Parts: sequence; C-alpha cells; structure tokens
Amino acid sequence: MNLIFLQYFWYCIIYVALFAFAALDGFDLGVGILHLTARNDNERRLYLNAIGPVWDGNSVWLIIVGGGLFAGFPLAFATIFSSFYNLTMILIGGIIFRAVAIEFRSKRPSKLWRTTWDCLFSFSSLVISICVGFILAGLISGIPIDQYGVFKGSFSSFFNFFTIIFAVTVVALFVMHGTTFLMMKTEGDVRKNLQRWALPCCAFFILSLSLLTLSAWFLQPHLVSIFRAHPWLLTFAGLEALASLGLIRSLYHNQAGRAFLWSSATILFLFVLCALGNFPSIIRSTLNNVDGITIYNASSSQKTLSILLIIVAIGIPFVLAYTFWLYKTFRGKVVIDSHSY
Amino acid sequence: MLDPLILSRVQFALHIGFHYIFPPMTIGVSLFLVILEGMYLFTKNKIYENLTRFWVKIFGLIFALGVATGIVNVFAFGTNWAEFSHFVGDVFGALLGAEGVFAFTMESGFLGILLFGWDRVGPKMHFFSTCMVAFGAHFSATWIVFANSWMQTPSGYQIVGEGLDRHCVLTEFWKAVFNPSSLTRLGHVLLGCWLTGVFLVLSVAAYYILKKRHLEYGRKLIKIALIVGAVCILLQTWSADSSGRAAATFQPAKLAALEGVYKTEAYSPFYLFGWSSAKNKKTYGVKIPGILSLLVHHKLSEPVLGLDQIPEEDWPVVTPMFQTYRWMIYMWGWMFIMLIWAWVQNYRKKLENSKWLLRILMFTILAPLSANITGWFSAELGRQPWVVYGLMRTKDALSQSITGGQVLGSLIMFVCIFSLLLVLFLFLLNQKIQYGPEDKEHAVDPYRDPYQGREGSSERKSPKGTAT
Repeated sequence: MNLIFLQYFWYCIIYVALFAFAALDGFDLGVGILHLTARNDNERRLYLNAIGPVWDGNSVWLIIVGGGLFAGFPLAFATIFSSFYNLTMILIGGIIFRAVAIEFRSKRPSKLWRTTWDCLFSFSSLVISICVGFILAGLISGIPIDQYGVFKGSFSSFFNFFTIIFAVTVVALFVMHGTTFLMMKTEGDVRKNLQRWALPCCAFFILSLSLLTLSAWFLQPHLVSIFRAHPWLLTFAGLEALASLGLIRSLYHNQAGRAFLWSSATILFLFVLCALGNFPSIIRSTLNNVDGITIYNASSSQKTLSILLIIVAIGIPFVLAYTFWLYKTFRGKVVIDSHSY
Repeated sequence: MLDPLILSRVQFALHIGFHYIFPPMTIGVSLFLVILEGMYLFTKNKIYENLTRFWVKIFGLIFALGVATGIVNVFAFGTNWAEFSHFVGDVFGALLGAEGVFAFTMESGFLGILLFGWDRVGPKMHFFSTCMVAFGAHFSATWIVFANSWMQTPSGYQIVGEGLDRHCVLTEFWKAVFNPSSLTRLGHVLLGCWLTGVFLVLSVAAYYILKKRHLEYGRKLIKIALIVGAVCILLQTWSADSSGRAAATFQPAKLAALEGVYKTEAYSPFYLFGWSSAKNKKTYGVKIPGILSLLVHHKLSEPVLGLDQIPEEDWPVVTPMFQTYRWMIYMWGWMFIMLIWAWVQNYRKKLENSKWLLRILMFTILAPLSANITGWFSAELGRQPWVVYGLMRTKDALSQSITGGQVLGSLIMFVCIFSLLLVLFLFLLNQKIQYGPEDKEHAVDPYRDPYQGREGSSERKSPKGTAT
C-alpha cells in the first residue's frame, strides 16, 4: 500500500484513539472532577462505582494514543514528550494518584482516610484534564521546535490565551460529559441533584467552546486555512453546533441517555475539527522557516505502517467487542454490592 | 552540574524497577486464579470459590499498582529518551503497539468483569474472563520481553539516515519479534513470574497455618502451590542454563561481566561469591575452576571469552552486575531449598507442625521478588554501554531538550510517590490477608459506610437515595 495513504490512515487512527480517550476516559475524569460535589459518602461511592468497572479500560486509550504515536510517528512521539517534559510528568503523577485513589478510597472506613482520597481523586482528575488540554493545545497552536524536533523554548512557551482557553474547554467538556454519564447511571434524589448541575455545566462548556472557536479563527490562522480553502468542511462546525443544541435540548427534557450521546457527538466533531485544522502537521513549530513535525517527516516506514495496519485490523474488532460486552454487563443504574469500590 | 544523563538513568531504573515488583505478582497470581476457579467449577467446592474471591481481591490491588506504575514507562521513552525513541521507533513501536492493542486492552477490559462481575455474569463467563485476564497478562509480558530482547539482540532491521536522522527501519517483522534471545528470555521471565505467584501463595498459606486460621484454605493453597512450584523451579533451572548460554553466544561481554571473567583462559572458573573490581581488572573470591566452561560450553577446558578480548569502552558496568547476578542465583537456591524442605515435610505429613519451615516460608516471597529485580538489573546493566546492543550508546539516547533540573524534579516526584505507594500497598495487602478468605456474614464489613448508623437518617441508609 502506498506510504501517503498509510500516513493518512495512521493520522486518523491517532485521532480516533484521542476521541475514544476523550469520549470514554473523558466521562470518568469528569466524574472525578465532580466527585467532591457529592453530598455524602453513599453518593460518593455511587459516583465512584458508576465508573468502577470501566475506568481502567478507558484510561488504556491514553496509552494507545502514546503507543500509537510511538509506533506510527516515532519522531512526533519523541518530540512531544521531551518538549512537554514537565507537563507530562505532572500528567503521569496525576494518573498514578488517580488510579491509586480509586483503588484505595473505600478500603478503610475512617473518615479522614476517605476524605483525603476523595480530594486526591478529584484533584488528580482535574490535573490530568488540564495537562491533556495544554498538551493538545500546544500541539495544534505550535511550540518552538527546530527541524530535528528539539525543543528550544521554556515552560512558559506552553501558556498563552489560546492554550488556556483550550484547557478550560477540555475541563468543561469532561465535566459536562461526566454529568450526563452520572445522570444515566443514577436515579432518584442523586439524579435530581445532578440535574441541577447539568444545564449550568453545559452552558459553561458552550461558552468556552465559542470563545475557543473565536480565538482559533482570529489568533491561529493556520487552523482555519483548510476551511477557507474547502468551505464544505465547515459542515463539521455546523454539526458541532447541532450536537451542542441537541445536548441542551435533551438536558432540558431530562433525557440522560440521549444527552450522553449528544455529548459524545460534540466530542467527536470537536476532534474532527482539530484533526482537519491541524492536518498534515502533528506538532507545529512557531520558529520561522521550520516546518515542524508533520505526518510526512515523522512517520515510520511503509513496512512498519502496513504491519501496524494489520495489527489494528485484527486487534480493534476484539477491543470493540469486549468493550461493548463490558458496558453491556454493567449497563443500568449503579448498585453497590460487596465487590464495589 | 546536574547531569541529565545520570539522573535520567537513575529515574528509569527507579520506575522500571518499582514497576517490576508488581507485574510478576499479577502474572503469578493470575495463574493461580485460573487454577482455583477452574477447580471450583470442576468440584463445586465452596472453599475454592472463596479462595478465588480472596485472590481476586488481592489481584485487583496488585494490578492497580502495576498499571499505575506502568503508565510511566510508556511516556518515559519519549520524555527522557527522545533520541532513542526516534532511533528505534520504527521497530520498537510496532512491538509495543501490538502489546497495547492485543494484550493490554484485553487485560484491562476483562478485569472489570473479573473484579465486579460476580453477580452480573454466570460462573462460566466469569471463569472465561479470569482466563482472558490471565492470558492478557501473559501476552502483555510476551510483547514487552520481545521488545526488550530486540534491544539486546537486534535483528530484522536496517539502519538509514545520517547524524540526527539516523534510525532503524524494520525489514522483517517476525525476525525482529523472534530475535535470537526472545524466547529464552521470555521463558526465564515467565518462570520468574510464576515462582513469584507460588511463593506469594505459600507465604499467605504458611501465615494462616502458623496462626491456626483458615486451616482448610491454607492446606489447599499449599498443596497446589507446592506442585506448581516444583515444576517451575525445575524448568527455571533449565531456562537459566539456556539463558546463560544464549548470553555467551550473542552478548559475550555481558556474560563475561556477569561472571567477572577478565582473562580468556582454559578452565574458566565460577565464583561462588566474591568481589569483582573493574578498576583492577580482577575478581577476588571463592572460585571453582572449570565450572563456568562446563556450564557455557559443556566442556571443562574450553575457555570462556573474557573482557580482555573486548575493547574497554564497550565494557558493561562489571562491579554491580557481578553482585546482582550472584544475588539472583542465591535466591534461586533459597527457593529450591524451601521447596524441597516443604515437599519432604508435606510427604511426612509434618508440614503443619514445622514452625520454622512455615516461618521462613512466610518471608520467602522476598526471594523471587528480589531475584526478579536483580535479574533484570543484570540483564540491563549487561547491555551497557549500549542502549540498543551494538547500535546506539546510552549517552546518545538522551533527549536533547531536557535539563538536569527538570529530571531532578521528576525524580524527586517519583521517589515521593513510590515511597507512599509502597507503604500503602503493604498496609492494604496486610489488611486483605488479615481479613482472610472465609465467608463472614456477621463479621464487620470493611467496606461499610462510616457515616451509616451515626448520622443514620433514612436517606443515607437507602442505597439509592430514593428518599427526598
């Protein structure tokens, strides 16, 4: 198969994995951020056990994104993580604490023990979301790297108006996604309480998304150039707006399942827009006369990409099958039993 | 001032070493889960069911730690070893990609059912999930060991590019997967994992029998663990021998360093213990001449290639390797003796009264754990000064943009996190072991709601909060 096709394909795979991460791990990160808003221990356990059987499988998608970059675009992998060294380390610290907090939280009845882990769980979920937001924002808005992908900036290079708005949007997105998920998994009083949160969360998300779109349009001209060249691609922006409206409507009518689907759709179209705007670059360089890392100069060889295609073709149906089975097994409202967290 | 290279190497050794405490236990325990749950389905004996549930809880704890610490490793290649990632990505990435897609997702997906699915799926489906988790754990280890073996004995590749763009390109996938050391090393690692499981089980069972608690459970565990242990330790002996000889063939510098051989001479000696000084180019200690030649070449007089035949710039770090390697062998000896002792006492039906045997067995879990770590150190230190044997030196593998300060910062973070995790892990593991495998309908539920009863409103008691 020809190299260009494989490079396109693998670019799509990375974004699909990113989408899977945001749509799946996104809601459990959101639940984590919301965790402290639960009003009592029972409610916290309901929140925790709503994501209990699935959070581990979900967070694998972040590893798949990392592994996928390593395999398909080694130079991009090397550049991203060495450039974003500090953010990556904070991200890793967050992931470790989060995994441990979920596992340890309910293991002892002491109030102090549980409150400590509750705070850590919530805080680390927030930290992970923020770090992911800044890294993604840095990739699409550009960082100072030379032609070999060696980072020439400092920690402050990652922070500007655009990246901050982006990170806020990511957090808002996850919180909103997590709320709709929890509404789906709970009932009665707990759900009523969540309902009160849902619309403001959603409104805040749409506000930050609009701000993000505006700042991309005016501050990041490279992101919109493809839309200027091919205006029909703006359909996806339309779909994004449609999904947001659908989300508001279903929340207004109190349909949690539908709201969750609309919320997933907003994530999908947001990533489609990012993927299109950033194409064919993976990491833009803000230095003059440097192309940055693109799918053409960073990719693995044709041979490796073909093998990866085969691996994905064999593996992904299995992954989808047992992910589907897992969610099917644990469908319905959360019930706390002796095996719960 | 602060050397990012040294700090990065320390950091990598730290997080890989700390991570490597857990996967061997999960792999070992997963084997026991399959056996115990299989026995339950076969005999319908309640004891096996309780034992499975008990070990599933312990498995969950260890697995969580394994995942939490393992995530670091994926990113570490990019953060600290960007030049390495670029150099090997074309080959290495395919192997790690296969691990992620085939094995890790399977393991994490079915884990949910294994831990929480008891009342949601039938016993056969649950057993199927257990098998899939066990298979995923083994399969994951397989790809990781293959990738690491490729760094030891690269094959199926070709080098292209110049200067900073120099990197490997995959030419034959299966040749890279089944490189010369893949299978030998995989066997050695998996047997090490199973032995870790065996001695974890033996340790818990010995504790119960000593304390005269859960006696029925302890006896069943000991019986199974002794059989699995005997098979594994014999296979490990054979695997160790072939690993050593594979090293002699493909990485002679490594073997020479492990054994402290500086001179190539007939009747190469094996050191029982001693001190190898790379500075003086001499090994001091108690040696038996000819044994090393016998082990490596199956012939007493045949010389083993010494470090004198290898340029000094290509020498691995001999002094620590000599010790870590010997420690691994001592641990093997300790496990071997414990298994023989336990088998003999069991045969004479005196196992439950041999207080000292049980006491020592309780602590023997330290033997496989430290053997795993020291073995890993021996293998990786033996690859130095190369990061990919013969192709890329470790000093060239470092990321160019990171500074010593950054790495020091993350290193301190890891030291703090890992110390905390280790303490918590031991604390919770102990708690689970103390709680034991038995059904306790009237016992205090450790998962009880601490607010329940004290604040006691009907709203808080109802599990779904239906009251308003």
